[in-house]
Amino acid sequence: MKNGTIALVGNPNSGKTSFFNALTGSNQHVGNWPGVTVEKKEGKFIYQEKEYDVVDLPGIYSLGAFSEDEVVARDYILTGDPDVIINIIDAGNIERNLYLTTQLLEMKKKLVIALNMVDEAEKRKIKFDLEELSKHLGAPVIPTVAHKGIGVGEIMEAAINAIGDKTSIENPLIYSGVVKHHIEHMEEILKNNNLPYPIEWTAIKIVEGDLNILKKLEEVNVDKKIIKDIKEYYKYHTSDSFELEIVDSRYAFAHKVAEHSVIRPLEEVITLTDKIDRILTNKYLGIPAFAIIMLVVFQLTFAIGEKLLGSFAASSIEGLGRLLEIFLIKIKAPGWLVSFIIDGVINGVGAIIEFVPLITVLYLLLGFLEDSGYMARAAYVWDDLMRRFGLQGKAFISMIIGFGCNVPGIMSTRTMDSKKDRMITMLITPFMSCGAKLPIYSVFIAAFFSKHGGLVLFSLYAFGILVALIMAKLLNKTLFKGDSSYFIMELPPYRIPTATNVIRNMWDNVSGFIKKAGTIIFLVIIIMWMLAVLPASVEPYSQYSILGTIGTFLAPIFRPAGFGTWQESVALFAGIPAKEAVVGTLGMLYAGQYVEEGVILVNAIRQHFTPLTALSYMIMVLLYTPCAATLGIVAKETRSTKWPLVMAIYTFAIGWFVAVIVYQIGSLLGFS
Amino acid sequence: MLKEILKAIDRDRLLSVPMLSKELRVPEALIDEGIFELLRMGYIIKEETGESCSNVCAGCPFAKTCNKEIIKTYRITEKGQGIIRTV
Repeated sequence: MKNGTIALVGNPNSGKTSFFNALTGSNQHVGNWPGVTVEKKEGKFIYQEKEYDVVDLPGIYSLGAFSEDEVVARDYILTGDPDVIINIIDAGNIERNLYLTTQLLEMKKKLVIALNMVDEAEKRKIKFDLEELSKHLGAPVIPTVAHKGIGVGEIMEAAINAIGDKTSIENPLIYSGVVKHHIEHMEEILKNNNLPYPIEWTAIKIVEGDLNILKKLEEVNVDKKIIKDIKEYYKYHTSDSFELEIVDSRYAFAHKVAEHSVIRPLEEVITLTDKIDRILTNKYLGIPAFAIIMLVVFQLTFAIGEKLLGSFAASSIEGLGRLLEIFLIKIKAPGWLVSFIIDGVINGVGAIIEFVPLITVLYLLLGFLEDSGYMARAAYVWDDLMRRFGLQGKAFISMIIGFGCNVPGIMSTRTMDSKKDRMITMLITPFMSCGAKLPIYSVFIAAFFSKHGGLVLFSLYAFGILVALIMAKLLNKTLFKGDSSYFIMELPPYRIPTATNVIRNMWDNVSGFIKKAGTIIFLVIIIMWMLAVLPASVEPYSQYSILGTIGTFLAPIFRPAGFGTWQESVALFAGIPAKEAVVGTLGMLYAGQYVEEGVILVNAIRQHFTPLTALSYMIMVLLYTPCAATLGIVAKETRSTKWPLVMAIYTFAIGWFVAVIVYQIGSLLGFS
Repeated sequence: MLKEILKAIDRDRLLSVPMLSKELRVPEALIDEGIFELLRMGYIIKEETGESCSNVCAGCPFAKTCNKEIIKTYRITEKGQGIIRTV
């Protein structure tokens, strides 16, 4: 004989399943709720020789209509007619759990509260005034530890007592005057009708803007006039904020109840995060702190990645080249094959592979910063400065992403709702030093500035940001006038970076770098090698080769910047398909020339550049025309060929102009 | 509480659960829940800063690094702005 049905309702992870298992033991049946894939668990509980049905409803945070789980739970409570509801609340997270309780109270159903996992809460020194809690909720509250079976018997006793209780239930929530008036008005519309749900609750949900209720009313064929009246009501009140008002009333109630009945230990007022943030997000100290952090990153990158590991990688590639050459000569391989493998592959692609340790260290350090939660702080402190240059802080996010690769940096501008912000950010992102430019800087730094490698590297990155900001200001004053839209940035708490995340981040970048060297760059180098050794009638790698002829034609353009040889000129153009190809081409053309003398690329660079021309060359590389992939994505994002063309030309012009200024001023000041 | 959260994040242009929790004197879990509700009700929207490029450059060597979400950002919708104006 059925003596009553008890429904278990609670948030996910509130211990509801433990509760259900403790009550029903092996006496369970698992199926699906009709028409949906939501699991339905039912069981039997015997108390004083009487059998009760127990229904375990899905774990939910609220009784809206935003998920199948919520709809199933709500419909069951309202139409399945359980005799009593046991609301399981996680004692350690009471406010959040009480939000669901407030919605159960709105339904005016018989309720018993199981304050579950009190042992865990007590360990955290959280105490409860159960009497006060019960008074506010108008329902019995019993502390439980369901997985140990503690309090389960008492809860069932309270639930069974509640089944027989005839006392009417009141909704203790207090809504604001206007909302209350609207609810009452809606109750007037709904009264005297055969509704599937309680009138007051239906009125609340309609005023809250829950369209699922209207749909349900239509389905059960309530009086058409009511549907018309509700639709009429929505026509005039859709812009009102009653949804927020009602939800806020529930939170306010949950908070008030917790405030009166929960005693928590005093929390540390100033946490470590607060202390760190006082410096890192400070209006005046934030940007200098960012500069210091990045300087340390570049110093470590250069010290470990280049000085410590880089020379090992370089000598390994060089050794491999020698062994291969001996082998090829031994097997009497044709001269062109030896030239292709040694000059093209080893000196070209190998010159790029040498920088794998450098890239590895840089991405390990950047991954560490990303995973620690610092990057959000960096973007936050830059927001103010960005605004002064006519941009929004989100542009800095695109720029940070652009440090890895400009393509995703430009793609990330999609989230900007202002076209002006988007266009400016797209046009300045290429000034960010992407990972592909790193090998180029490293060769020149190793050749001329190795004592201050980290500082020079940092200065190049910083100079890129400076040029980007100046260009943003100029573009904002000329082509793209207007105000910037703003956004909200989430500041996550600091966390200790996990090795898995940091290593995965590093590996994704390094493997991408290696893959690119083996595909795109390899292809570019093959083309460059062919152009450098053809026609067969001329000396390979000479200015009479096809590549040499092109380079000789281009060289005068760069002479004012101090690096006007044909090799240096064609290397820059080889960098347009992929930036790393600049090093590959220089490696093939310079180191290839001296291969018999065993001169590696860095030494060759020392012979063809001076510190000043090396600096102007690096600046040209930093600022000039971005790679083809970046231009391609700009074409795609702007849906035009005009903007990539503008970008290609204006960045080239800026790169050339700044490189000339650096060289000419440097020369006038007596630097060489 | 939701109105206060909206007002605070609009004022600071920052969404920090610990900071909001301290300012509004409610537990962090409740702030989390409040933000979830504001998102659900359409007063704020979360923006995707990490763009997936699976359709445009699946063959790109850096495709894996492309759609990383380094920083989470939100925007207050027109509906949310309407509420802020009334607070």
